[in-house]
Parts: sequence; structure tokens; C-alpha cells
Amino acid sequence: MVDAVAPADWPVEEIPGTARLFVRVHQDNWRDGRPKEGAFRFRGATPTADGSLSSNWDKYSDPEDTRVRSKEPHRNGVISLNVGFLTDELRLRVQHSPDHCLTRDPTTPWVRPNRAHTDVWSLESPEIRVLLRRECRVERALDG
Amino acid sequence: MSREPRIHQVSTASGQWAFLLGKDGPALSSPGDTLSGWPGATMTFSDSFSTYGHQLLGTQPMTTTRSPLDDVEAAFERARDILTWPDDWDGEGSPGYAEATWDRARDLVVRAAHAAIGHQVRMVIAPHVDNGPDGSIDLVWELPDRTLLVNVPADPTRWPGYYGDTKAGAVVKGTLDPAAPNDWLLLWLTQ
Repeated sequence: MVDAVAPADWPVEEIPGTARLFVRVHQDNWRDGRPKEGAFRFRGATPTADGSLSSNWDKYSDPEDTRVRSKEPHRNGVISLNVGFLTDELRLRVQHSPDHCLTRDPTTPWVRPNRAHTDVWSLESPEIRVLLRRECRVERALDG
Repeated sequence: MSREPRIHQVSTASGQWAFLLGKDGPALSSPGDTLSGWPGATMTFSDSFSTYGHQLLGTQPMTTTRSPLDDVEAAFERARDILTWPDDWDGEGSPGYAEATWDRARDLVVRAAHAAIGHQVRMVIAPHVDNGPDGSIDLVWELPDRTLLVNVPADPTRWPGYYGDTKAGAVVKGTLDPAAPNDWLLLWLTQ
């Protein structure tokens, strides 16, 4: 996607409830054509402290863009989540967090600026993961 | 180095399977029994604990060729593959899986299963034994009318968390004392 605004100037925006967030799902995190509950990994989460799930806002991304940002795109599929479901039904916090990524590292070419980047914050909770598996939409299944 | 207690399935002279929780070594099943696996073991038994500290979880007649736990054991054996995954197996920095976590997950289900068998449960429904987040293991039962997820954390000091719901709207959730039988989980699946 072509973006007229320089990465350093990307503002943090309010994400409407109608928006969708794309999430990459590795091939070992699928069961019966759906993401496993374990695919919803809130980094750093414990039962008492929130962790974040990385996603991409559909205003600035799409399933293919989300997939190719992985180290091994051919080993990943993509699902999406409705923001209103996350915030209103599950009471999770959704925070647009554009990744300005101003330092380029040639050894990690998959890391590049990402205006779509959005964090979903949650405790480690079996309940949340069961409901996310149930409610998510598969946008791009695994290759083959 | 002391070993973690494990569940042992042994045959007894009276034609029963006995399920014992304890460290490796001689074990007894019930008063008057001789264990075929450990001939010569002394017959001292009281209050469901042997003199060697093994706790009797339950017994079951050896009348069937297929154990109610066959499907459970097969599910865990299939899942052993995740123990070979290296750190960053998903390219997103996820850690690998420890055998100790797999052991705790298996023991939780086997212990619950033996207790449930004592409540006349004939066949134990095997879970999906899945890779969970951050080195944890997910145990998932997906039935036509209900779903149950038990998460066994990589951190042995944390109790497993669980969530289950039914299409009729009933919900169960909380944490599990891993030392308890927790057979109600399997009974809930068959209600």
C-alpha cells in the first residue's frame, strides 16, 4: 500500500468498532481449518497482567500484507477479528500502535514500518482464547 | 535426584488394573494383592497409601482388551512431537515446549480419568493436546454441544486455568488444583 505520510509522522488513531484486525497464524497453530486456541498469544500476559496480541488494522493493511510480514509467509495463514466484538463483547482494549521502525536492520528484512499495527490487550485467559477461535474469520487459509 | 510423582498402571494378582500415584519403586494396590510388576513387595496398605508413599487412585477390572484410557494415551503420544520444536518455532518468538509441562498435562487428565472411572465412566473422551501460548499446553475437548479448554502453564507454580461452555449457555471457568482428582471435568463433558 502506498502511504503519502512519512512513517515518522504516523499518528495514533481511534479505531472504529466496525473495523477488522488481521492476525497471522502459523501453520502449526491450525486445527480443522480454524486457528487453535493457542494461536491467540498475548505476549507477556499472565492471569493478572495484560499482554498484547499483534494485529493489523484493515484501514492500512490486508490479509496478504499481513501474511508477507512474517519470516516465512508460506507457513502462515491469516484470520481477522471484529473490533466491536473485542471491545464490546470481550471488554478487551484495542490500541492503534503504528510501528515507525525508523532503524532498518538488513538482517531482519521482514521488519519494516507498519502503519496498520495494532495491539489487542488481554489477560491470559482460556475463555478469551476459546471465544476468539469461535468468532474469528479465516481470511487466508494455509497454502496447499 | 528425586523424581516427580507419576501415575503408574500395574496389574494385580486379583485380576485388576491398579492406578498408583507415586515415585518409581515398589508399590501396592490394595490389601492382599501382589503386584505382578513388583513381585515380593510387602503387603502393607492403609488409608489408600502404600508404605512406599504410593497413593491408590483407583482400580479397574482387566476384563476388556481395550483400556478406557487408550484414546487419551494415544492423544498424548501424538502430541509428543511438540517437545522437539525449537524456540521460535513459529517465527514469532514463541518458546519451545518442556517435557515437564507435557507430563503435568498428561497426569492431570489421567488422574481425572481414573477418578471418573470410579464414577462408572466407561470410556474417557480424549482431548486435543495442543501447543498453547508461551510454552503452555492446551487440552481441548470439542463436543457437539460443549467445549472445554484447560491450559497447563509452562510455569509449574501456576495452576492450570480452564473455561468451558455449552450451547445451552452454561459456563464453567476457573483454575484447577493439580493435586486434586478434578474428575468433575470429565463428568461435566458427559452430562
